[in-house]
Amino acid sequence: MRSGLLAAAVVAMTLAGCGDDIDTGPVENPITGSAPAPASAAGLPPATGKWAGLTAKCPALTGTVAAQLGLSGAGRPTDEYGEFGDIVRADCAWRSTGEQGYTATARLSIYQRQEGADAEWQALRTGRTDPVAGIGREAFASPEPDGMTVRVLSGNAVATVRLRPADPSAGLDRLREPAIAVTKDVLDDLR
Amino acid sequence: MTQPAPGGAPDGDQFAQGTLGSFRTAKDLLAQLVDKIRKEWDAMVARINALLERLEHELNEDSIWSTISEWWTSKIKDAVEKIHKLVEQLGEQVSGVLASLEKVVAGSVPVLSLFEVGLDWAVKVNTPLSDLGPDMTGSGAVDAWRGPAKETYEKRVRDQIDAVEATTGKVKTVSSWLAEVAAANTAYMVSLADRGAEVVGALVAMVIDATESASGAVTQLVITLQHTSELIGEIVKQTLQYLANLANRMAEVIKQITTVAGEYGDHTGLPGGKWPAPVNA
Repeated sequence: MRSGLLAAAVVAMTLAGCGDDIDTGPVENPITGSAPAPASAAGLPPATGKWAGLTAKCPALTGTVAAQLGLSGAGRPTDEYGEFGDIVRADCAWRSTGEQGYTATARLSIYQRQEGADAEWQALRTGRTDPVAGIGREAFASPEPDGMTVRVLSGNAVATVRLRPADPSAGLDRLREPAIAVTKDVLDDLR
Repeated sequence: MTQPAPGGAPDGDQFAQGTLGSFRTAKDLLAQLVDKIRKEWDAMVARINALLERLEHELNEDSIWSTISEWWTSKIKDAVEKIHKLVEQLGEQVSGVLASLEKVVAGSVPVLSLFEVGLDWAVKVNTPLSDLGPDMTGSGAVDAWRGPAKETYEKRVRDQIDAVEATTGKVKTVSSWLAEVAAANTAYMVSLADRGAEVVGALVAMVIDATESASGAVTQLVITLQHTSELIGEIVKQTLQYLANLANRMAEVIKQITTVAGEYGDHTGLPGGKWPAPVNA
């Protein structure tokens, strides 16, 4: 034991001074010109729980609305699916099995750091005008050129669910409620 | 004329307004994202520098921690070097994202103006034109007309109805072209805004990690930085792919422009290949 401590002391002494070789100077900042207001989660209901991930790689749509649209079943991971340490980016797609021509996509960012989810949401909620009650901490629906989109902050997860009809020019407002139902169907696979 | 034209204006108008609404939201969001990303990037760099400063202080002071950390000096040296490299790499990636966002924000103002005027024009022109054709049917006192005068009158009326219908078709073609261009641009901007928000989320998560890292945990910070770099690298790749998709879609639209130009030069839908003379000519 004593010889072990002695050896450790020798190594420590040998290495002493090596700290001078470490470049602990500041990292360079190539991006200049910052400014604005701090982001905050002000106005949002507090997160009451923390999601660890999804029950499977992609959520499975099991609700009646998904069945009516021909979208039932497990989603297919797209090539944008990825896991990056503490952040999971689940990107999944569904295609109608019938002739209705609907497609759906869901993109979920699940952060182990609540602050990350809150920050993404604070950016995403900018300019949204159609709030959706009863999903997550906050949610918005928005018609976009190719379909109806629902964005939701649920705990430490941010989800964007899109429901696209075969012909978007036929009107998107009718898809608001179905898109909300599909979003709920996606979120119930968080664990 | 009180009924909307079949397949006509209301849906097209709604679609155009929906597209323009999404475009405006995405434009505002992108402008804010530029500021948010800069702010979170600066915060991340400041936190990492604070960590490095703490590390230097601890390495230089004569404490038990300092002695123990010396065991890992080479490991720490490697980690610090990696931090410098990764921050540089991340800086390039974030600069790339910022450049894309700024370019789109700068370019969106004239594009929005074009869409607003163009779609507004298409809807405003198309609706009354669609209504006009059925309203032009001859009626009233002319029912009592007989002979060549009536035949000439009816022919001219038919010619004018045909001309209005042909014009309506051309306006609809332009309208659908504008809608297609607007939809493609809007979809690109919405995708870019969504990915920009993800960059903000990743940087904030990184800032929190850097804030909570003890100076002895620099190796863990390297792993987190690597993950953040991978994530933002993926986002950069995706945004480039969206841009390529937009370019492909625009190439399709350019084909449509050729068709539109052809449509305007094509008078075959008009009676005798010419605009009709007024009925009283």
